[in-house]
Amino acid sequence: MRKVLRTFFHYLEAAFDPVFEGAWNPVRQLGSLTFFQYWVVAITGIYIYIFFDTTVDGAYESVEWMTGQWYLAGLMRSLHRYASDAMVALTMLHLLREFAYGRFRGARWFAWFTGVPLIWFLFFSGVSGYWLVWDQLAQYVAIGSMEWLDWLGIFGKTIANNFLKPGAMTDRFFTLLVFIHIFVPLFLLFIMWFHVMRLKQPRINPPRGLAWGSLAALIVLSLIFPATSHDKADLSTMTPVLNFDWFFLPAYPLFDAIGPGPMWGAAIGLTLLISLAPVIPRFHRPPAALVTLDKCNGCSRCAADCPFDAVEMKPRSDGAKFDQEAVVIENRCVACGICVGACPVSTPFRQDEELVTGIDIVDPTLKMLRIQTDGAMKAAREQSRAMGENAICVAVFGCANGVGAGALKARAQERGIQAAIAEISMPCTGMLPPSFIDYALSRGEMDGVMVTGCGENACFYRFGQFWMEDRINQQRDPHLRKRVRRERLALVWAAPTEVNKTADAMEQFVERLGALEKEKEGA
Amino acid sequence: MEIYGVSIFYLVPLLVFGPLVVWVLFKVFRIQSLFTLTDEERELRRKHRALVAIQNIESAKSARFKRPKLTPLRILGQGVLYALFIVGIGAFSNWPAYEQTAPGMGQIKLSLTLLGKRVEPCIIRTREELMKLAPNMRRAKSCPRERWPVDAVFMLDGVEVYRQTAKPAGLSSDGPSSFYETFFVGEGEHRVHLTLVDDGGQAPTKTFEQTVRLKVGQALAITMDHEGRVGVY
Ligand code: HEM
Ligand code: SF4
Ligand code: SF4
Repeated sequence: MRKVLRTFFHYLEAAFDPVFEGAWNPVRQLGSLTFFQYWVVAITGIYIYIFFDTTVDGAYESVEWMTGQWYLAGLMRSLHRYASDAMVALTMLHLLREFAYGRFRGARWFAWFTGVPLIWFLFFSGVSGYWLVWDQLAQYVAIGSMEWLDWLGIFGKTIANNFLKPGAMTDRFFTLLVFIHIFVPLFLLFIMWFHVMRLKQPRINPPRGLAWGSLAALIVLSLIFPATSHDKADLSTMTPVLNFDWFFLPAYPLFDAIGPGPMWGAAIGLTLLISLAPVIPRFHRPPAALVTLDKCNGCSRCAADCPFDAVEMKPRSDGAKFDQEAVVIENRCVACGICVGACPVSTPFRQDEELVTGIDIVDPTLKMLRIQTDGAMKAAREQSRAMGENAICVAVFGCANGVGAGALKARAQERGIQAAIAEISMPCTGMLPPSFIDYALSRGEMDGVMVTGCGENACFYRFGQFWMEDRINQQRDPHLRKRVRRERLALVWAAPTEVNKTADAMEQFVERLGALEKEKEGA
Repeated sequence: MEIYGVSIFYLVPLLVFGPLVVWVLFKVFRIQSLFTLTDEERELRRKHRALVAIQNIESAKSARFKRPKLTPLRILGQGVLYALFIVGIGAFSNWPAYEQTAPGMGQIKLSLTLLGKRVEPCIIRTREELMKLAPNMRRAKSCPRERWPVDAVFMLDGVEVYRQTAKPAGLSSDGPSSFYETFFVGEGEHRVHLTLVDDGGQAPTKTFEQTVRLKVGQALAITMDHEGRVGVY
């Protein structure tokens, strides 16, 4: 099922790409977009609170007054409503996407686990907001909520009785509801902060274009279809048919259908199921990165590049002349290897048999990566010799979450691309020290190097792709050396479903390399 | 149950969440490092932050932070997708309507909260009995707190629609028993009939009967006032 969902998201993202490009693709910004909607809701909320009357009798009229001022207070009210709805929709998509991509396993359980209370707090925030309008829908929602709570029997009396007969609702109780609607969302924000605290540089702000775009869209919606209320609440009446917000309120019809007990069962069961997803069928964390102290010079690049803040710099413990050393916090490490690519000591040119670097992961180690590279390149050279003298040799460095090893080769063969391809795979392309590119071109006698990985801006390990680009563009240490001819290098970011896109890139790349070879011969 | 006048229900979350919060503070926030950091470590941390900042400065110039080219076709495409987005949000924020009951119905709600009789009668102690007790326990009248569950039967137009036994609230079963149920009924006259048994016996200890007129969309409540009299409101 996860596979189907994953493929769905791959196609969805691909569908958005031509319109938004990778950087603005909203499907890859669901978390940050949700954050942005929160700010919209908060600011509009503060604005409409100014005009809100917190008494039972005055609340409804004050909301009606706002709705009447369509160009400002009404607009704010509508935005408040629709941005909240958008938050729910975006959160659910965000949850599904993180689930589909499996970004909740191992050390990444933390963001997932803290995401679960976010759902509850978002739900309570929205529901308590609906109470405050104090219209017929508010009455229905408030009574349903109280009945649901009453089933627990912890209040010693039936709190739904606050809504039983005309006059039962007091200003004091209403003020309590107002407080709930202020403090629950504040708490939501606190948990949102908590949710991303284990991630380095969490993406909490969407790109400006997306932020303005979504805000503008919601403003348009608010203007052409403003939020309205039902009739004023009246405890001596009930409304059989209600216009309904299915983002926040679907639990209430369900509650009417199955009753409070099963409803609690369903809610708690689902919460547990989602919370425990990281340990189903069992908790598995691949072995963490290891630091080899004699090789570490304390430059702290690994700590700067680790997307999960799993490397700490500590005072030197071995008496070496450097003042700090890298220390891995094991229970945060996801074994992506990005730190290996960041370590200046990771270079394949070294002769020593051992090829030990400052920080290394277990599967594969840097040494294993070089062995894999050497082997694949050797096979490619042999293949190219067999294909005839024109065959181009290309080394493709790829990751476990992009176009799979083998898939590209097979497609290239189908298309009859005249190239011998050496495929080298690792957990994340960010693991590749840039010196490997140099190594493949000079020592490995490759005609070109293609670096691939997850779809643009969709790196499974968050930053692998960014750091790789920056290293090649000499915008981040360690740099790819200047002497490496950039025209012999191609970067392709593509999801596993985008084999054709990768093959297209390969076709063009081989053509370009062929032209370069001819030039060389001519010279 | 109460401890110093505070219901122990307030302690349960404290006991559950307290250790959780402490665990989070130590394992996740690693606050122990706040107390154990030496000056040297603090200095290192500062240095490290500076290095990370340097590492990020050049990265910040990366092309990925540039705005994608906005061609007319793209603007159009984005417009279409945003339109889809607001149609989705706008629609499910209001529609489809939810029918909690068929149109043309009214509602009768039964909500009763009452104390069952005490299971054991109060004991009036004689002087001699009192002297045998420890001085701080000497009370002439002592009432065991446990109460009977209450049975309720509710009939609408001669048909039994609700029969329930409600246990007294509270850990020592000394609280009130509650009944709560909603009925959707058509408009017109209805005969409501309620019997209650609050002493563990068979015979009704309280009955209530009345004919009510219900209009479409009206919500009536059958409940008790402060003196325990049942009424329709
Ligand atoms: C109010 C709702 C939520 C907001 C505002 C929110 C926001 C975010 C943000 C900003 C990120 C960081 C993205 C990045 O920098 O890579 C993130 C990551 C994540 N979120 Fe949420 N989120 C919310 C709800 C949820 C829920 C309900 C779940 C699932 C139960 C969830 C699971 C995750 C996971 C698994 C990650 C990825 C962490 C990683 O890469 O290891 N989030 N979220
Ligand atoms: S492998 Fe390295 S970069 Fe990746 S999480 Fe572990 S310490 Fe961080
Ligand atoms: S990048 Fe390498 S040398 Fe630098 S601190 Fe990390 S392990 Fe040590």
